[in-house]
Amino acid sequence: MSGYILRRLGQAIPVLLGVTFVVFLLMYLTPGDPVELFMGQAGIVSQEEIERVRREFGLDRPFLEQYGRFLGGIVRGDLGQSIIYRRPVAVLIGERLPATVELTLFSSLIALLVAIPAGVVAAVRRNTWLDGVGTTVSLLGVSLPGFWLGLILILVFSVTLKVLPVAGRAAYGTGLERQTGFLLLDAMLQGNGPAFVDVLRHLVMPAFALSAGMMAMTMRLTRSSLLETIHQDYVRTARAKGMHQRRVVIRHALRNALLPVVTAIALNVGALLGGNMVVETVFSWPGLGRLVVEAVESRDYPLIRGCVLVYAVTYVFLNLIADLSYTVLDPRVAVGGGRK
Amino acid sequence: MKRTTVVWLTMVAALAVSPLGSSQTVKTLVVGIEADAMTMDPGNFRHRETETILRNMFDGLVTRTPDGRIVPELAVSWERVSETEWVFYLRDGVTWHDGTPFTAEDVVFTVERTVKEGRIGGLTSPRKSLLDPVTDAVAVDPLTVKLITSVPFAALPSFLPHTLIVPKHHVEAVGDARFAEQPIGTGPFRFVRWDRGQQVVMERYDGYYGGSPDIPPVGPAPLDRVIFRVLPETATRIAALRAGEVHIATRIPVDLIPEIDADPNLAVLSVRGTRSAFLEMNVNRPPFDDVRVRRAVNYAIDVDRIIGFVLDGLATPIPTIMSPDSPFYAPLTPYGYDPEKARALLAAAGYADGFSVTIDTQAHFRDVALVIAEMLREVGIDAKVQVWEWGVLQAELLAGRRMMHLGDWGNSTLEPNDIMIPKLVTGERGNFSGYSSRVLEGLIDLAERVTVDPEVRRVAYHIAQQVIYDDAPMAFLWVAQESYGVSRRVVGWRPSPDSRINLHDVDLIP
Repeated sequence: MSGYILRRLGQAIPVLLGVTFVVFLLMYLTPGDPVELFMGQAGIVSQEEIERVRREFGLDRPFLEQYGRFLGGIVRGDLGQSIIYRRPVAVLIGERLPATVELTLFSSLIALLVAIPAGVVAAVRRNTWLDGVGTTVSLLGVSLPGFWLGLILILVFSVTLKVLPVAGRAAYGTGLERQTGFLLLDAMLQGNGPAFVDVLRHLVMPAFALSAGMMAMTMRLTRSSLLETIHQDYVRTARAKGMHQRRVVIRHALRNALLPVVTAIALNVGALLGGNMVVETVFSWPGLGRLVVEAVESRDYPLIRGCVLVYAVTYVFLNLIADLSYTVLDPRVAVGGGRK
Repeated sequence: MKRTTVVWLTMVAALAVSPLGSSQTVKTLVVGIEADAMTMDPGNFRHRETETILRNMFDGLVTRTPDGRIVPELAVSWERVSETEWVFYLRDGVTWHDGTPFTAEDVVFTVERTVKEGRIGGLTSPRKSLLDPVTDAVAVDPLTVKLITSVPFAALPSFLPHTLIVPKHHVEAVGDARFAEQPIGTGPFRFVRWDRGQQVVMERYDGYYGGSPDIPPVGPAPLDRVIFRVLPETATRIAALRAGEVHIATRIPVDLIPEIDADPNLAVLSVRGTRSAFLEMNVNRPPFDDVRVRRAVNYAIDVDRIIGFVLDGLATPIPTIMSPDSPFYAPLTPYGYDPEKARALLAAAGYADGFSVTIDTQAHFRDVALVIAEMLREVGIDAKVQVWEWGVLQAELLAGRRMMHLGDWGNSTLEPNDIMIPKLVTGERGNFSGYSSRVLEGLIDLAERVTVDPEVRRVAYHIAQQVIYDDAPMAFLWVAQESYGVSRRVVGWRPSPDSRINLHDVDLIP
């Protein structure tokens, strides 16, 4: 098992090299000058000043040299300095990543808690009104853009009902200190009940807006996958043995039906990490998504590279998790050797 | 099943109750701002929101009143002792937020940190060019400092509000990186906490000397606490204002003003900004290499109608690129709308049948660009609009590859050189029309490097504006108003043309 994991991690190296090279090349080919953009649309800036900033950030070097320096930096754990923030990229990402991970995990959790039971109900009660409602709601969930849903939630729950805060991660004044950066965890570690509730209140709407799409997709996938397995022979056998319907569905059918669902979820969590730029902007959530948007808009090359590297590592990692989870769900899948 | 329902309801109820309670006696004003500060170090950014935030914790030698006058702040007075030397007499009794007295050494430290290379963590301050002709500073005595410039620099006081003084003892003790996280200043509010991407919290500094005597009231701030909350999405910013979570919201677009006006607890306050808008034409390529065509474009655009119908009246037409608020503004009569004259000029230039052109712009100018394109079509110019992402468009414009650009440029000092140089001097970074005029450059040189005589400078800049008007490297449009959504509980605040939000004199009523 550990040998398999090591081998998989080894395979990740060429993937990451490829990703960084492509990103480097794309940035090289995309028009836009980080220094010109940094200086803004106002005021006098001398040509020497522009040249100096370019020199100070190594942007005057040839393409391959810049790439080489970047790779060398990764080995030393140094992702370079952000041009707009003028601080180390690794520090900036470290500050923002917990916010995004917390939001992603929370919304994935909401999605799963709702979607899998809903998918099961829809499959078992196929073609009843329950199934119809589920199908319609999930269609809406897939179609509604996250930012629109987010704004509607804000209008309803914050502006009209005034029960939830509009945006942000935590209010000032609960005495919460930043330790891990995962604020729910920090609040628990500090035994700060009011802060915990405050953080949770801030988390609910963005998590829901972010999870809608995933929820809908997971529900549809659970439903169709379960419908397929439910007509398999072994399910009929189980039922013929006189087993209780609920037990048949959960123990025999669902377990097998979840295989494709798990893959989809793992990839979806990756997409949530990368795709929450819009939701993070709407809810003013200080995560990686907003940092990436700023980085791209200002062509902050070192910062873009750092963020993309984090995304790439996350995807590789999530894929590994998905593969490993197969072995738990389906004992026939043995690591390292394929199906026996 | 029933028990689960009860548990759920309890959780929802718990979520719905605010944990903070209502026992707040601390007067806290919250500003919803569209971008976070890049740093807490006043020497290390080029970013308007950062300056807006830091201005409440730091002071400059001088400041600018909401109506644009330069008045003393940390300096009491100043005089020019020779062509290239200025002496500033500093205010006595000013202290940093840690109680240390403010002296001339702090000013020297700040100036050197800004204009000398590699002084901030090995990098050079990106604000160097905002102070550029200044080469050095010398402390004459603890309350007198001399600034030395390389050329006569009459506009120096207008540039100084943008240089905020930093504490020498503190920066040297904690280092640049730490200072950029936890600053101290001499301003009305002291730094409390910065949650990056979320909020900057500050509280009143009780030992404040009171601020500029020219901007009464003088004394410590009435507010106990100020929070700048980062809300990048406009709709969210307005929602926070309507929900009562913020008291001042920045950058309200024209089309969302009615939404705020409809709320009896809110008001919209507007002020004429300092960004001039224009339609630049590439003067190095036909057809815009012919001045008659460029003038024709000026005549073809009905600026007043665009202001009335697209901008809701919230803009002022300008004859060139200078704002009417600039002390150097030349009151020329704008070209005005005259399609007949436009057609005649086009015909005289050999374009009786018109030509095709693309107006390049960014998303926030899209509506205006479409209306202008329609107006150009009426005089026979087949114009279409292309909306770009700024990073790409800027590179294209700098390379001189585009024909027409609709955009704007900031001029927060209201000094002519601050906008004429970047926009209209040969090879400068904002000169997207590729314009080059020896006469104009000679006049700027005269006003900035040769003379300090105010009358000569005034005349030089008036002639310069006539030159720009006649050469018409752009169609001159307007200076737009900037609007803020404000809670009716806020008293003592009005928006400032340079977009700063100074909260020293502001109070909050129940």
